[in-house]
Amino acid sequence: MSTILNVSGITKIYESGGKKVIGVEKVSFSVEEGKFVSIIGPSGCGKSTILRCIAGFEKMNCGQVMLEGEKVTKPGPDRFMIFQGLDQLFPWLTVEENIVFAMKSVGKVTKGMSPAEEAEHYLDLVGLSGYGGYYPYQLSGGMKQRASIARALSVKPKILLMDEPFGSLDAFSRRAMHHMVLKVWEKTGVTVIFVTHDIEEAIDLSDRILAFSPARLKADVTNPLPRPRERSHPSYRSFFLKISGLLEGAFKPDSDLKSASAPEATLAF
Amino acid sequence: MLALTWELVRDVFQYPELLFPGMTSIGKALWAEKWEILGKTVFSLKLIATGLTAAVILAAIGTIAALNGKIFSEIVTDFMAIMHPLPGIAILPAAILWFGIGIKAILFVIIFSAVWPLVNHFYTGFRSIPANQLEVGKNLGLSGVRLALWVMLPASFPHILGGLRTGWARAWQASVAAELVFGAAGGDGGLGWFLYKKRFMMETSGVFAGMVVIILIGIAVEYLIFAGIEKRTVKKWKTILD
Repeated sequence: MSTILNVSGITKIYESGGKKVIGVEKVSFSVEEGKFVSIIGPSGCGKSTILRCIAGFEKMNCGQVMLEGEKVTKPGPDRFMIFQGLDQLFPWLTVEENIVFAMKSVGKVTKGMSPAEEAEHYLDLVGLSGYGGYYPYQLSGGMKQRASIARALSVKPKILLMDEPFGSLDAFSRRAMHHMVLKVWEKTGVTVIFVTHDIEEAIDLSDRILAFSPARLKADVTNPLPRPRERSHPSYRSFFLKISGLLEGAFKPDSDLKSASAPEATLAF
Repeated sequence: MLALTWELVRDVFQYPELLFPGMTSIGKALWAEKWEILGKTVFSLKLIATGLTAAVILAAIGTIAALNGKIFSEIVTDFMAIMHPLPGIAILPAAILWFGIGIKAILFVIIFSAVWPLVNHFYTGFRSIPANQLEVGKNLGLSGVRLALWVMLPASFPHILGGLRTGWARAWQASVAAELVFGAAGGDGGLGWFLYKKRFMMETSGVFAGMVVIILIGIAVEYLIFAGIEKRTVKKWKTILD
């Protein structure tokens, strides 16, 4: 297993209204190719900031992100982001056109296959076969996220960056999405970095869990549970408690109140 | 319905034909003057097309500048705040002093009337593009012109269309008004000039014939052009509410 991503010492400070707010501070970790890694922590702990730095959307104050030995300076299709919002598909294009537009924009159209066929291939992978002709407004929330993932896969990214992608969905849809994401991950072998504040979601999906306390990486834990993850498995409970313990420790309600970087943090737990 | 009310009001109050011509005489005037009206209409529409095109280009430049620099943004928003409440026709006296009586002055009024609502809509439109869509575009490696044309333009299309609608209405009003006030077009003119001439010669039915044409053109542009574009774009995508 080779290292695909190296995050070293990144610090991001936001300035708003003359006040400096620390997004993340001196965070370092690396990710091996093909792994499913979750970043977990309460709202406002900087986990989305990390993802946005990897994606190249944010200018960092210090530190750097290296993708396969090359420094990340701007956004690019080799690291594709899936957002929580249900408005990330282009509403003026059908689902198929969204995918074809993405492939053409990055110049990755497979030869010997029509773009429409290739789009259908990715739609099939996310369980949305036959929906290519639909406009985004005709899809449910879960279907929109599936279509966004299909579009992301179509540009053949090295890493899929998922920022609470199912946070806007109900519990039933989420379970279905978890199965789909795992299937996609197994079939494509893509590396996934998945941000969530849901401990069970992190355990169900990932090989490794990075737990964040405000602005800092608190713990880096390997998931010992065999796949598929069974919530009835005796060690599931103990692993869950271990992770939640890590996060509880990081978040004493009193200390959160003083934490400028996590104004909503007390509400999260 | 409207025609019926019109005739009824005429009968009840016994207004003289000279002030309140009957539907038939308006129709007759319309028919008798059809070639002149057609010529004037073409003239007016050409003038507006030129003015509106220039206004759209100016508004696009202004918006791009405003989006790219804080200073430009302040200049544009300040100008908008000052100029937007000024009715386009109010600039006509100044325009006549600068350009003399004629097409140039009218063109100036048309551009002035249309450019502020255009800038306003374009600017609002570009600033209200969903952040996620913009970032997906950047994630695909798009930037500059490609990002603007392929993502920002369609994403802000509801506002752009709204701007064009208002811009057109303002330009149309301005062109008619400008010709009407001073007969500013000189010898050759559009529909406003036609109304001015007919009023001057006390041909009341001709005045109303001109008004009917102005209304019909307004309706035609709305239903044939704007409603058509809307149906094929923002209504189809459901990016505006019905």
